[in-house]
Amino acid sequence: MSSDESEVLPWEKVGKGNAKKLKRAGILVDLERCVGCHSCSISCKTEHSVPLGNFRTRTHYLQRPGHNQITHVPTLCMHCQDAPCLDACPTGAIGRLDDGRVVINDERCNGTKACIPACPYGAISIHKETGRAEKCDFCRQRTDVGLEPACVEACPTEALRYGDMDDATDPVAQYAKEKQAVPILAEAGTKPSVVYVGVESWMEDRVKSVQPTDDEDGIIYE
Amino acid sequence: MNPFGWWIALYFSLATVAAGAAGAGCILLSRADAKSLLRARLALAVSFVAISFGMLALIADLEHPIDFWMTLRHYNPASWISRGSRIAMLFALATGGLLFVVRGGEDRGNWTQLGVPILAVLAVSLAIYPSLVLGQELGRPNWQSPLLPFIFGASAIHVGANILQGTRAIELGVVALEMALVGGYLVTTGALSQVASGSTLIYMGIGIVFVWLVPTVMRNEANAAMLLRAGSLVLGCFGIRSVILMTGLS
Repeated sequence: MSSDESEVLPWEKVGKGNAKKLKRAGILVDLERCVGCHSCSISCKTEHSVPLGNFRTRTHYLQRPGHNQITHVPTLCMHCQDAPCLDACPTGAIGRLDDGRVVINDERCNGTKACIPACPYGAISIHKETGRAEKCDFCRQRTDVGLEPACVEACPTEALRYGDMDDATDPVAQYAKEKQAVPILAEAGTKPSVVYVGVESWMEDRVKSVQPTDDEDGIIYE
Repeated sequence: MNPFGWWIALYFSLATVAAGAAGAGCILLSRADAKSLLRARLALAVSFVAISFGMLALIADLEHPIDFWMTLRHYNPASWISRGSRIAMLFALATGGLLFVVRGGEDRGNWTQLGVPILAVLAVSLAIYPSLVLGQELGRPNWQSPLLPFIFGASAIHVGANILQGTRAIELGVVALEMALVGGYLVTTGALSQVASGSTLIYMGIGIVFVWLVPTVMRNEANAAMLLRAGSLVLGCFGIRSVILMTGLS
């Protein structure tokens, strides 16, 4: 450790001035590293007090057709560059930040629910307690002060990485290029900012569009 | 979670009836005889009641009904719900206004001549726009079907034809067109397999009986019969729209 680094204490790395300036915030999900431990979804629920039955981040357990092999596929809001939820919301409650993140303004949401079927990834749901739409915002309260999203920080295998997808010098963008990371359900044409390493076509049908619920039939753990 | 539930199906069916009745009202108002004028008043009244209850159904569907005004206050030009809420509002105002103008059953005057084309344009918009709302929902592949605008349009024409009471051949032709479009939608999207069982089948049955069978059998010039047919069409349209909403995912 150099003398310069030793002078910066851990808590001094956190604060408004330490936020990374990203052109296009994104997350890389490396399915070759994911072990399906649910750390991402649990840390997300804890970070945002997501109630039972709502999911901002999910980990799907998918069985490869004809095999016993299980693959784990974490999903979250893809922060699409052509986000259909943005167009569908009648009150303009869904907006975009300078770094491309798609966020919901709670005060403008009146619960029309148009954003829910608009999302091909099933990333949006109605908060059971507030009755407003909710979804992943890449942990705005954390990334705005220089921290990483809770799911990225909690992942024990570094299967999730947060970075600038439009900056060729960013290590995450470089890793994405090296590993030929691609979005899931690319045919939806929404240009997601979340990309996957190791995704295969058979996985895609299983991860699209529908939010699990904990209605009368009991909780669905995915 | 099914985000678009039966409140939305009810609104879609009431909007269809309102649009069809208003269209018929416009045609009747353009005729010169007193009988047509009286019938036009009834058609406009049906239309006004339908769109009024329809908008209440829309508000009831919100998670925060008290905040319904935010849809009107904040305009998102890209959103078909945002556009549609304004179309419905203007339609209600135009229908109510025209109904007020012809309330006496006599003088039609310049206000009618001005109101009829405006209401006609709004009626077409009201009939079609719900299908464009569904088309904007990319997460529901079946709702991307290009047949949906034609189904919604044909339903409104069907309502209008029932009010106008043209020849039997025309009415049956409109019914056949609507049946063919709905059938085409179910087959081409793969939704037919979802209709084969469960509650979807019940809604499809309601749609067939009340949209196609009852109004076709109940052919009668009396105004009371016209109201009954309008009620039947609301039920029938509700059944079909419920099926469309329930089978969004293929």
